[in-house]
Amino acid sequence: MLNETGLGIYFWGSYIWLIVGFITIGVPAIVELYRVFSSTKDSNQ
Amino acid sequence: MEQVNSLIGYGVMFGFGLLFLAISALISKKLPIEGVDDFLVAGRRVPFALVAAAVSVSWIWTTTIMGSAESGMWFGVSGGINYAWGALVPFFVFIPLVIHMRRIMPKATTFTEFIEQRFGKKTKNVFFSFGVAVIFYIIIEQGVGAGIAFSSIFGIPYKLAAFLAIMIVTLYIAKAGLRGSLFNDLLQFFIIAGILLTVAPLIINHFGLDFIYKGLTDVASNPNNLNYNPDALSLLSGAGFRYGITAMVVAMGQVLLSQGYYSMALATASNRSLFFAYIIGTVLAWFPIPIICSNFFGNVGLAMGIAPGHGIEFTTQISPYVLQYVLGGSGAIIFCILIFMTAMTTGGNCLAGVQALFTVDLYKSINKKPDTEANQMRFGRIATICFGLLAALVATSLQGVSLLKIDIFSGILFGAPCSAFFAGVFWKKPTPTIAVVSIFAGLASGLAAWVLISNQDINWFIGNVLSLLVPALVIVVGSLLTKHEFDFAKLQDYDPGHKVNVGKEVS
Repeated sequence: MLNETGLGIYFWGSYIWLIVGFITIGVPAIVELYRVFSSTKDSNQ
Repeated sequence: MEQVNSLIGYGVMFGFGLLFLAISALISKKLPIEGVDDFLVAGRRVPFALVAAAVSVSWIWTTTIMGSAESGMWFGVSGGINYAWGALVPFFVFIPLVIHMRRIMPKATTFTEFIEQRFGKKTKNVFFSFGVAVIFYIIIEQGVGAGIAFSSIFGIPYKLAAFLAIMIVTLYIAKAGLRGSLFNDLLQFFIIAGILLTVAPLIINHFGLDFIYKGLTDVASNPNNLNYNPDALSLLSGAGFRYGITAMVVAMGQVLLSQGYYSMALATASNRSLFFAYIIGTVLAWFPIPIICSNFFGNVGLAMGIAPGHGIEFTTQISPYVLQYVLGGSGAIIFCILIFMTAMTTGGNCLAGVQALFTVDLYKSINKKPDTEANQMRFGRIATICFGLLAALVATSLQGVSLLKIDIFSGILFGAPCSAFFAGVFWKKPTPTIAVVSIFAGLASGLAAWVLISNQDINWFIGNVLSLLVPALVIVVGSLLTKHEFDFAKLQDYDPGHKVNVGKEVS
C-alpha cells in the first residue's frame, strides 16, 4: 500500500519521466528541424 | 458531458488538417522524393530524434489515453504501470527482430519481402493479408475514436468526423510518404506531450495530493465506496498484473505485424540509431504517458467518487470528465485535440506502412514487367488513397458498435502469425508448411477457447494467450522433426527491383 509520500513520488515521478523523454527527443529534433529548414536542399535528410 | 460549440470542433479538425497537409507539401518541396526508397523509408538517413518522436506518438493510440485512464479506475494505482509495461514488452521483441532482419537482408523494405524470400510466395500472401488487415483494423479504431470524441463533445455528426479524420491523414501520407509522416509526427509529439505536461499539474493543483490520497484510501478501505477496491493503493495488485499480461498479448501482433514500425526502423541511418530511437521513443517518451493518464485522470476520478451512473455513463469517459471538471469547456477542447492528434499519428504511421506494402509487394505481384519508380509510387499512392477511403467508409458504419469484441478478436487474429515470423528471422529450421500450420493452429485454438469456454471473464484472455503460444509450440516441435535448413546468406544479395540506399553499417 502506498502512503501519501509514495503516491506523490509515483505521480510526479511519471511526470518527470515524461519531461526527460520530451527533452531527450525534443532538443535534437529542433536542432534537426533548424538544419533542414535553414539549408536550401540537404541531401543528407 | 456538456457540449461545446460545433464550430470550434470544425475549426480544430480543419485547422489541424490543413496544417498537416501544408507541412507535407512543404516537406515535399524542401526534400523532394527521388524514388521508391525515399518515398517509403525516407532514404534511410533519418536522424534518431525524428524517428524516436514518431515511434512514441505512433504507439499513443486513443486507447493509450482513454484506456489507461480507465485502467486507473479499475485497478487503482497499478492500472497505469501495468498498462504501460504490457504494451511496452512487444517492442523488446521487435527491436532485436528488426535489427537482425536488417543485418541479414539489408535491402528489404517490408517485412513481407523477407517472408517471401524466407518462406515463399504463398506464405508471404498469408502475412501480407495479416499485415494489411492489422493496419485496416488500427486505422478504423482511430477513426471511430475521433468520431466519438468529436460527436460527443462538439455535436459534429459522428460519420463526418470519423470520415474526415481518416481522409486527412490518408491525403498527407499519400502526398509526402514516410518523410511527411515523420515531420507531422514531430509536431504532434510536441502537442501531445505539451498538453499532458500542462494539464497534469493543473489537475493536482485543483484537487491537491492530500485529497487524492484520502479519496483513494477510502476506495481501498470503505466497502460502501462505489469503486471499492482493496488494492486501489497497491502497485502489486494481482488483477492489475493480469491486465498487464493481456495488454502485452494483444499488443504483440499490433507491433510485429504493422509495417509502419518496420518502415520507421529502416528509415534510421544505422542499427545504433534504430536502437536508440526505439528505446528512447518507447521507454523514455511513451512509457510515462499511460501512467500519467491513469494517475491524473483515472485515479483522480476514483478519488472524486465518480463511477458509472454517478457522473459518467462508462469508465471510458473518465479522462474527458476530469479534464472538463478542472478546465471547463477548454478541457473538452483540449481532450478533443489530444484524441485527434493520437488518431492522426497512429493512422499516419499505419498508412505509411500500408503504402510500403502496396508500393513494394502488391505492385510487384501485379506488375511483372520492369517499370519506372515514378509509376510504382503512383500505384502505391492510388492504392493507399483507396485503402484510406474504404477504411473511412467502414469507420462511418461502426457508430454505436462496441469495439470490445473487435479488440478481443484482433488479439487472437494478429497474435497467431507472430511466432512464425520471429522463428523465421532467427532460426533456419522452420519450413513454409510449419509456418502456415502454426498460424492456423494458433487461430483455431484461440477462437475455440473464446467460443467454447463459457466463463466470459477468462475466455478472451485464454483465447489470446493460446493464439500466441500454440504457434510457438507447433514451430518448435515441427522444426525439430525436419531436416530443412534455410540459407540466410543468400538474403544478402536480395534485389528489390528499385534503388536502395543501404548504410555502411548494415550492408
